[in-house]
Amino acid sequence: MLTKSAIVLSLALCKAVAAATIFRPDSTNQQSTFARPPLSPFTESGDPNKVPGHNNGTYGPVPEAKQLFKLEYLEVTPTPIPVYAQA
Amino acid sequence: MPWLSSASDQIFFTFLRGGIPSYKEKKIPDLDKQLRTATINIIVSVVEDDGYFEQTLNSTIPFAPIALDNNAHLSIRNEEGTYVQHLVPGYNEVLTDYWIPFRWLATGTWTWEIVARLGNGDCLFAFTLTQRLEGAW
Repeated sequence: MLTKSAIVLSLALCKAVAAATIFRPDSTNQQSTFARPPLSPFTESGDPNKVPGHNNGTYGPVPEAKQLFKLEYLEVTPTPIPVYAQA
Repeated sequence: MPWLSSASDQIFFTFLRGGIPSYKEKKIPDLDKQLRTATINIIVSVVEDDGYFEQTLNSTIPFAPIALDNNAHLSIRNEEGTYVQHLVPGYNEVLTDYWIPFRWLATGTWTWEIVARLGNGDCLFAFTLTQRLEGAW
């Protein structure tokens, strides 16, 4: 049984070492990671006219196809804007 | 003063990220100048509950950092996270913060129409936000 637990322990250590290797900060890798734009933090609605991101916006009055700037996302915080209810 | 305990004492933020794809940037003559002289047109309007329509703002301002009466601010950052004085080639991040004066706001369906253009008039982006807000007015 000692052998078995020794194997389990060494496997666990191997995993730990592997994880440490994968996530070890590496200056060369880090540069290429940061150069890439981050993934959009939202799920798409499927409406092609919807502006991506947490917002209730739609493209227009100029059609999206005629817009030069590609909107990766637009975050409006908070969304929806809380409605003021008079006390 | 009930409005002080509601959304009126809250600051709202928008964060816009994107850029002109490089294959399109290459086709724009004098790109730096067109970005430097870019503008934003902001149209704000409301349809009140009784059907009354009013356009409360129609203003074109330079697409540049600005502070409006300390109630609203706009800033631009480049790809490296440095705050810049105008849009730059590649990725841009446009941040705004603002305070909504619910105390003086008319209740109804509000629409913000934002159209950003290069100095030569070509459209950068255009979108419309619509939401019902309830003010004390």
